[in-house]
Amino acid sequence: MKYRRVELMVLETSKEIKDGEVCVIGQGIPMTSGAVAKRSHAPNAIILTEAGMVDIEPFQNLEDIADPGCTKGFSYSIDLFDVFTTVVNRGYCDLCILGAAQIDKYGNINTTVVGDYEINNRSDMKLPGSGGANEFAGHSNRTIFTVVGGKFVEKLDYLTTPGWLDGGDARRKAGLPGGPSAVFSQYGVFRFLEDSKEMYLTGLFPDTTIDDVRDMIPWDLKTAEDIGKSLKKIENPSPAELKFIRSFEPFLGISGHEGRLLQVKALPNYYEKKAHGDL
Amino acid sequence: MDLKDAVKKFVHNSDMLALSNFLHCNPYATIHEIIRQKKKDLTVAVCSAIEEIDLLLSGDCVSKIITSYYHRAGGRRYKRELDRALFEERIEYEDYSNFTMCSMFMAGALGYDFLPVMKSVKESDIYNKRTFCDTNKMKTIKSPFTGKETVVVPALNPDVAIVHVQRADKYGNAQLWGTEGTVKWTALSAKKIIITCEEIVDHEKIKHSPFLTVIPSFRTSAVCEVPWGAHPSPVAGYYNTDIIFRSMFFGKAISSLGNQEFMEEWVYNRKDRQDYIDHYRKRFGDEPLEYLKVHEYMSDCINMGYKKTYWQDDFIMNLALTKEEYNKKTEEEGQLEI
Repeated sequence: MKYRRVELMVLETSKEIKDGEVCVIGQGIPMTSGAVAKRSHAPNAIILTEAGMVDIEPFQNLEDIADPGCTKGFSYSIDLFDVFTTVVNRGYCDLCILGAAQIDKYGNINTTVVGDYEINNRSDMKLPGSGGANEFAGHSNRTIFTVVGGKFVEKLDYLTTPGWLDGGDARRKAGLPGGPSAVFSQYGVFRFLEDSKEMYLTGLFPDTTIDDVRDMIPWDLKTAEDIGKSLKKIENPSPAELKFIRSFEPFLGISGHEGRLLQVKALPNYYEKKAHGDL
Repeated sequence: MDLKDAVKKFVHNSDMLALSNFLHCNPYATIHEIIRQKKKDLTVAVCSAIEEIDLLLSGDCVSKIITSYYHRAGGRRYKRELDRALFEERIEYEDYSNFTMCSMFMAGALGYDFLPVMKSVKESDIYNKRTFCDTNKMKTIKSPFTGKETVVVPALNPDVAIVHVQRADKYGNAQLWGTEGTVKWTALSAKKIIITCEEIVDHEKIKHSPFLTVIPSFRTSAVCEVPWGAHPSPVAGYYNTDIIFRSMFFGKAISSLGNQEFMEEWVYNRKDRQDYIDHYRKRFGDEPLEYLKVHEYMSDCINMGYKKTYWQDDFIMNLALTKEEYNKKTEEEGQLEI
């Protein structure tokens, strides 16, 4: 049985959510992890989205963070301002999970632009922007980033969301609580060194070498072995886990590009032909 | 009011236009009407956008954009009108975060000059890099109470806000549920509010659940019944996101030509939203729209209650008098005579 790296990544990320925690989760891959956790090992986790749905129980992955049909009701309906102030700013958010387009060695994130921001944001590639990321990662007790299409870079093109800033005690000096605790890619898992706050490799995906990971990292990457710990070998998912995750989000079982092509090209054609009796 | 008339009357060239909905109930019917009426030079303020910005840019309605999130589908391959507009320098664009945007709307809605925001924004390029909002994007002050460094954002009071909700009465009391997002603060910050809704319902029905009302009648400039008015975005209790339609748009929008074809077919050549839905059914059949309709999950009925009156039969509860005793008293205490 074959599976895609991103499916394992979603499963591994979901394991970071402990039962009973209050979790803010971002759009896309992170939301899949959150929803999987809620339906498996963390049924009492409080999953909330920026749009104000608190304590959702998604039976299917969300289309976006404001998808009201993903759950049969929820416990607490608030607005976006309440989420940021009464939950996150007051320190009640245990964990947030967000996607990253560019990430540096201290877990700072760019989701605004690839290329030069100057000249009126005339850019090679416009990315979504902050959305809720800046304040979520800036003020949650723990933050986890997922990197799928994104890149590890020496220097960000734009700092959208603060991680450990310049490392060491820079984040505390700036008066920000919490901080990034882990980064999940499709090849390895990273955490941050106690003192310097530099990212280091703690886990390796199946059929992946340290050099495979190093090829993607522009700085001299440390691993768990460098600080006297052992590097975790991440196990293959079980068929049952894959079955569950695919029932929840079938898109994950095929490549993002293939899935997008199916949606953009095949889906409208299918319904158009069916409507006109051409199938 | 007819949506055509509402847009004609309340949206003007060079206005600041606020799009109130946050990924849920997006006011697409009104956006299409603004484009058909060829409004120009708008400054669009919106917290999180999917197709809204692309549509308005394709209609050449926009000169400036203030936003915090622009949904990207499929990465680099899937460029859209905003990419072309930025590259050709047709527009100016200012980046905020959702929270700082919402705080600007809230300050405007509350009638304050500014509001403090969470400090993480100070550590980012959202604070450091500025375009047309320049020094008025955000500032740092010292708290007058603790001396702590505090980032503040200015109030936004857009000329007009457009918002789609599930239901409203004919007076413009607008009710929304599902995901609240930034709807209330964005709408209330504006000088005028145009509401579209799936259904106009009796005023009596609104009064049974006042906690669902996000915009009161006295703030509403126009209210228009527009079923399917938020398609292809979801509306809690009515329909879900239309992936077929949204994907078709993303596919078309890659090229200027495809984008123009989409605009012709779904905006310019459509008279109104009813015509749009009729066209949809003609092209894709009834099945996709039926699939979008949600399962029922009814809200529990609570008892709002109203109290018993002082006069119970011939006894007055709050004075402990009978009717006769009361009449005798009023004769004794009366000061003038008829």
